[in-house]
Amino acid sequence: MDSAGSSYAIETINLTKIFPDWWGRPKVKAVVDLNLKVRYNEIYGFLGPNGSGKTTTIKMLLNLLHPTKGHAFVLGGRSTDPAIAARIGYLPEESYLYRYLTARETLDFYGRIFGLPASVRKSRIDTLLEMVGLAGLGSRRIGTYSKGMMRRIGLAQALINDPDLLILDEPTSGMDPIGTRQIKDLLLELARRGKTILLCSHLLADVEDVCDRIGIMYGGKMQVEGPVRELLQHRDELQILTGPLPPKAREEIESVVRREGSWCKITTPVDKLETFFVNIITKAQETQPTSGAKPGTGIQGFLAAQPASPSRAVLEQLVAKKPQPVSESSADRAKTEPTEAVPPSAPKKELLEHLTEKPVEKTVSAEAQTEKPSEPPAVPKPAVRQDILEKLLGGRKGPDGSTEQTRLPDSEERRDAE
Amino acid sequence: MRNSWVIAKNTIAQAVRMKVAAAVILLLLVLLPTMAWMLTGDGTLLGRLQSFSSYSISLVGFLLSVLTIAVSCYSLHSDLRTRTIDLVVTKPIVRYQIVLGKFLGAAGLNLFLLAGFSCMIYGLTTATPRFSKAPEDQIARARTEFFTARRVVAPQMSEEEISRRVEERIETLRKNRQLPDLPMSEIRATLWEQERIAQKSVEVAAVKEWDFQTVFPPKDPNSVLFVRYKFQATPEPPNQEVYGQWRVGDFRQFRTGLREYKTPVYGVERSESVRTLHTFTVPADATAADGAVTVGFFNSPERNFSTVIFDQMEVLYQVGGFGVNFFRVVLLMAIRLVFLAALGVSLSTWLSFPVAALFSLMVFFAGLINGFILESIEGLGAVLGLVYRFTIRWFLYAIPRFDGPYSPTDYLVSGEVLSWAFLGKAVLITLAVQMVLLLAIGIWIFSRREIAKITV
Ligand SMILES: Nc1ncnc2c1ncn2[C@@H]1O[C@H](COP(=O)(O)OP(=O)(O)O)[C@@H](O)[C@H]1O
Ligand SMILES: [Mg+2]
Repeated sequence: MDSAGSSYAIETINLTKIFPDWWGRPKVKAVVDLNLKVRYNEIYGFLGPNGSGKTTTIKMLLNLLHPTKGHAFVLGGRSTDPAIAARIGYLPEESYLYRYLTARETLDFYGRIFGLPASVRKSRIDTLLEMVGLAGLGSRRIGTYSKGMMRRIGLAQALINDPDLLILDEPTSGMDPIGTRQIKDLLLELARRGKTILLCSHLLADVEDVCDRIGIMYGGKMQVEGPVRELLQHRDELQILTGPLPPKAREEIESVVRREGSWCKITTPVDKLETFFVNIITKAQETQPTSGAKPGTGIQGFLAAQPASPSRAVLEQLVAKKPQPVSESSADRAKTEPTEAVPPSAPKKELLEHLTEKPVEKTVSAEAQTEKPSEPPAVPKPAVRQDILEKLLGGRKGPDGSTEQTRLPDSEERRDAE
Repeated sequence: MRNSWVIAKNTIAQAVRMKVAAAVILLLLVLLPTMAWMLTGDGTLLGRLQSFSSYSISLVGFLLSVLTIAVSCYSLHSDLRTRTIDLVVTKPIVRYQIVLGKFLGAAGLNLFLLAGFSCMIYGLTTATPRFSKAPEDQIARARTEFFTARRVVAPQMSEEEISRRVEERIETLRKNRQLPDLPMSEIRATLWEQERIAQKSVEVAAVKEWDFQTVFPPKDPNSVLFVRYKFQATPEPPNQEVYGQWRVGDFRQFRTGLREYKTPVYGVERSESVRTLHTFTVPADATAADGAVTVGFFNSPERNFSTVIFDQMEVLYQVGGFGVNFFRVVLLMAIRLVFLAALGVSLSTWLSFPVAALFSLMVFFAGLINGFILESIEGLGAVLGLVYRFTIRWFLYAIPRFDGPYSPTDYLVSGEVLSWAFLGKAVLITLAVQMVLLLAIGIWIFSRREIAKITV
């Protein structure tokens, strides 16, 4: 708790990193006078092309690199403080995992360092493995995993301590579109639970869907920073989305618009490739089920299995926000699967009952509220999406494609709906 | 501490997947029983026991030392190279816990293996008399000289006597203005050496007596006192043998002119080869109640024509059992392994695996011949000596000794007791000082290290 106030989850002051060459002369200015401020409870998109200094910044935040100049504060203190480190989840740029450990041993190893008791570790590992879609592969050595699978374990590892602050360095690299979609959903869900997320990426689509605010780095310097909506909004244009209309009605609309002195263009919306891909896979799965792991429970599983912890109240509120009818399937699963996952002890059952009943107001920041798909009209979409996801999750053995251009269909609608 | 154990466990999981670990374990599992079968020594049961215990303990000690070095140097370096350490250090763990964990893992694994293989050696050794079908007298000899723990007592060297004579001679030289142009310490050392040799020599027709104190053999009618010695003779006797007339007992009785002796004085006569270690035994009641005993040697002019110079003279008596002594010998080996684990981990906080392993091996081998180097380089010329004095000698003083009294095999081979006091001293010097210092340095370096910095 140095000079940094506790009003920011992440704050850097003139953070600078200059890598010297072999002779000690300054060579690469990786980060220059960076003043990054990430508020509590927001998803911050940390963008920039390759080599712009994102990873270097993160490593300085986590004391993996020492700043040449300036300071980095995390959760109001230094990440070297174990009390603060205990509240951070970190997914490095690559999966730096012990190849000789199995997925389960890996999670157990980190769980132990966080000092989690055995029963908590076991139930969390079960739900996390389920969540990242590797439930059936928990006893395989990490060394035999594909890159995307390692990424998933890396993510599970970052969540083992139920962190308040998640620092994710290109979480979707090497992931298939389904995995990417899943991570985005997870991030939204976590943000609703009051977590702060620093999402570092060069895949703009990843960030656009989920981030509250973004900052764009180039050459180690912050180029532009602000709320996603403000940065992307066309202030002088409007979009109207309707169901099928007879030609006559269209003409009328056009004439009304022209009468107001504006211009008008009517087209048919085109699916994003991501939506298309997800739909194809869903259909394929109905006819030829894969021999891989069972479908994951998604975020609900993880939430439900959370033992009584400080964040329990938040969890209850958050999950209760899911409207009953649409999240039918996931609610069903929440009733059965988590209890399978946790050991015989029962206390979590009553928690589950809370989860599916009480609708409580959520407690995220004002900004997050306007951004997240939490308003009534937007709700059905994510729920349905999740349903699809859950069918797909873990049914796949590995990633098979880049996620460069994926973009969520409903994200547009969300913006439009506002 | 909890975190360190977690790291230690992981280190062990990592180590058991190293090929060198599997190789060492397999090799020992095959070699130890084979050695117990094949090594027969001089054909007697005692010889067989001595050669097996000596080779097996040496082999286990050597291979586990190498394995300890390999594991301790590899683990942290591998974590740094594969960058798995990046994830670990961002968890609520303090850097010193990681270094300690690596150390505990490397040491723990090897101590576990040491315990296992020691049990195997102990089992094979104690089973040998039963399976070798040796005659009764050989079994009895093995019992008194191998399956025992004997204390070795050196004679009372009258150092004051030597000092007095040295000072006398210096005085004489000074008066005669014959003092050589050398540093005083060097003159003194030379004279001291000359006097010491003079003290060890027995001229023809002369008698030499060695007084021993604190000799307390068990009060058992069967217990014996061992007299162990080695000599040379000038001029060399034609058959390489010296005939000796020995007396062992409390000589104060006839020095003070007592008529009746309270304790017996035993006489022994033997003709024995030069430059070989010899032992004879007399009943243990030769020692006086206060623990004093004297060994006398008469260089008989009837059979000998040479001055006999004793290089070694000591008496031994039983103080404990084989089992406990074996256990302490294993502990002495354990100290070595624990030190090497600390050395490897400490070095790997800033050196790469090959460099750290090479340096550790160097320390290990230097430790094995530490005493030898110290002795042999002591006699170097002025320039070389100066260079040496400021380099190698400091290095040798800084590292632990693994030879001489720190070598585990000698205790078992000669059935000598390894005292708790000596073990305590080794723990104090090697572990409490040298090891703690090494770990502290390693922790200091690792805590300041920029983990994610890449050096190409
Ligand atoms: N250890 C290092 N030594 C020298 N240069 C480095 C090191 N790490 C990163 N850099 C340089 O710093 C710049 C920023 O890198 P990085 O932060 O990894 O970018 P990105 O935004 O892609 O994560 C790059 O030019 C990279 O080459
Ligand atoms: Mg990067």
